Order: sequence, then C-alpha cells, then structure tokens
Amino acid sequence: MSDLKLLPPNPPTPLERLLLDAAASEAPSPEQRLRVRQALGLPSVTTAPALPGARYAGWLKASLAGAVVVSAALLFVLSGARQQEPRAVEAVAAVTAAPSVVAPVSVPVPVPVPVPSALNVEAPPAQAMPRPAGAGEKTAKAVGESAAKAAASSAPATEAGGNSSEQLRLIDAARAAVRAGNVPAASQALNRYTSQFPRGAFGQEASVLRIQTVALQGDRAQAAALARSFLSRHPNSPHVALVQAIAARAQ
Amino acid sequence: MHYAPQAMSGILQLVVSNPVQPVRAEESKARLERLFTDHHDFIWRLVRRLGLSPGNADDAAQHVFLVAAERLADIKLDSERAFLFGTALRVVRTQSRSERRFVLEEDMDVRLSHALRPEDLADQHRALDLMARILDAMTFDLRTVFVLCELEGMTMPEVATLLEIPLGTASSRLRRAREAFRAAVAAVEAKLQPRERRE
Repeated sequence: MSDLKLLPPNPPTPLERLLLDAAASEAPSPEQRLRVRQALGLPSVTTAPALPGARYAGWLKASLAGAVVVSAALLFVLSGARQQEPRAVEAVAAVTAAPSVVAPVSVPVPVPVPVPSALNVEAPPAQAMPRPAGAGEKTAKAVGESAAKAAASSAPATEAGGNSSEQLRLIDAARAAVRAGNVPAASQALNRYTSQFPRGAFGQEASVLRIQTVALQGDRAQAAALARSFLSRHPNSPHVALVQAIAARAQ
Repeated sequence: MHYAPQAMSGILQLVVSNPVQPVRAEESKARLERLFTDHHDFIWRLVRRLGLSPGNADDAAQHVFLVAAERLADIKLDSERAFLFGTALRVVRTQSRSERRFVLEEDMDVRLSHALRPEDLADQHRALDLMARILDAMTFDLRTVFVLCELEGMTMPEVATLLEIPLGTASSRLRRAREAFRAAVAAVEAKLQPRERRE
C-alpha cells in the first residue's frame, strides 16, 4: 500500500526549512481582516487570527527550538567565519525573534475595535447563533440619524492612518447614511474621514461611498467622473464591478 | 435632507442594493461571520502563495468573500470551503495574467547572480521573495498542491477532494512539486557556496 503522505526520504535542508518557514509565517494584516469584515457588513470586532502556516506539514513538522537553531545555524554557515556586517547581525535577530515562524503564537491586534454603533450590531459570541431576520434592526431613518450622530461626535484623530476604530466608525456611519438615503450625514462622515485620515486604511471604501453619495444627490456627471477616477486608480479593486455599474448608469 | 429608498430608481436603486452593503438577514450574517472566521486567513494565504503581491492578495481575498456574500444562498453548507477555494483560484488566475511578478527560471537566475547575498536569505522579506520566485517557477497545478500540502498541512485526500482530482494525480503532483522545489533550492545553494569560498 502506497504512502499517501509521500514522506520524503530526507528531511529538509536548512535553506529549504528557512524558505518554507518564511512562507508559512505570512498572514493577512489586522487591517486587512477589518477591511473584509467591514466590506461584508460584519461587526468590526476582531478575533485572534489563526496562526499562519501552523499546520504546514510534510517535511516540516520540526520542533520549535529546532527551527530557531536551524535558522541561526544556516546564517552562521552562510556567513562563514568572516566578520559580520551590521545588517547580518540584524538579520539574526530578525530570524530568531520571529515568533510566527516557530511557535503557535496568536498575532495581537494592535487596536481594539468597538462595535460600530451605526450598524446596531453586537459583538458575536464565540458561537454566534442565528437570530430571526430583522430582529433588532433599526429603521432606515433611525440608522441615518445614528450615523449623523456618530459623525458629529467624532473625536479628533490621533494621526492619519492610525486609530482603526475611529476610521471604521466613520466609514460605518457613512455607509449607514448612504443606506438610509441621508446625504448630509453621509457627506459629513466622509468629510470627517478624509480630513482626519487622508491615508486611511479604508480609502477605497470611502471613495466608493463618496461616489454613492454624489449619486444619491443626483449629480450623475460628478458621480461618473469620480467613478472613472476611482477605476483608473484602483483597477484591481474588489469594488470595480460596483463602481463600473454606477459609472454606466450615471452616463 | 433625506432620500427615501423607495423613491429611488436607476442608479439610486443600484446604490441601495450594492454588494458592499451588509447582509441584512441575521442568519446570513451569522453564516458570513463563520465563513470569515474559518476561512479568511486560509484564503489570503492561498492567494498570496499562488503568486499575488500582498496588496493584491488583500484585494483578492476581499473579492472572494464579497462573491461568497452575494451567492451565499447558493452555497451548500458542506461546500463552503470548496466554493471559497474555487473562487480564489479563479481570482488568482485572472489577476496573475496582469500581475506577473517574475519571468520564471531565466529571471530567477539573473536575480540570484546579481542580487542575492548569503546574509540576505536570513532577512524575512528576501526569503519570501526567493520563495515566491521558486513557487512561480512551478506550474500552477504543482504549486497549488505544494502550497496546500506543505504550507497548509492538508492531507493528500483533502487536497484531492478540494481540487476534485484523483488521489493518484494529487500525489504525483506533490512529488513533482517537491522535486522542483528541492532542485530550485539546490540551485540557490550552489550559487551561494562559491561566493562563500571566495570570501
């Protein structure tokens, strides 16, 4: 009977292990997880992410200490006996200090993100139970008012690109306002977002919401222009289909 | 001024019904929550390892889940992972045509001869860069099996099921992928050793 695991005859070389460890250590950023959650309309809470590559297998189920030793040994072998440059010393620290390469450590989320009030959703329990559709939903008008309040009560931002929770709150507020057809509230939230976070993590989402807001105002020409600009700047964006549709309708 | 959704038409209806909006039904939301929790990081790692840059991997992963959200009602409960996986493969194939980062072996050889130093490999980013080039040198089918088995730790039956290929085919692809990987790494090591001896 053949061995379906195809265990190789030889263990991985140090370089093979180093490369596979590097690949296994990659993971999406917390901002990426938040971005997708927000795009899906999920509560903007974050859970401890799964360890990237924790199960990588085959040759590579080596011990934690072994991986560190092998990485350090590889560097030593490759560098030889010659004098180490500062960069190489830094590289040793980088390799040996990379926890995700060798140990199942959860990646911490830097900023706790509160539940966006505009969506009126609660942080789900570990095992979220389905609830009846429509339970606890606000009316469109109420959501719009909530969004306006959220935008109006926005605290000053720390710096552009930081404070993910505040960014999400403003984007959620803008989205809720767009859904409710509340153009002033949407504009207010988006203006606040773009002024406080000119290089924010949700720039694409803000741009799409801006296009939607302009479309809601009835300014089709401007919406089409913004849509074309967006498509030229973000040809691979996941929002391309939506923006293209808006541009087509606006023309 | 408020705009009543029911009064909207044309573009305004499109705005209201756009796929970026949250799924309203709580059951769907709970299901999306589970999909995201269980599979998002897997999908991101998959598209990244199948050749997309980190930025495009972000976009691609989000796209996969937006597609899932739109078609949630059509996805069978026991086929969620397969649906996400298949969608991710299609997205990668599409994006890879416009985002070809390397030109396989020839380009890798040039890069290695001019840019790589031994200590560079200890740098995480450079190791990732080299790993990406090695994976890119594989065919898409081999790379997919290699990623699923060696980096995601899936078993051969799991891989065969996910790819909807016979078990023997999956095993053969893995064997060839491992051979390709080892040959590529050996080529790198061969280039490093003479340099070390010179120094």
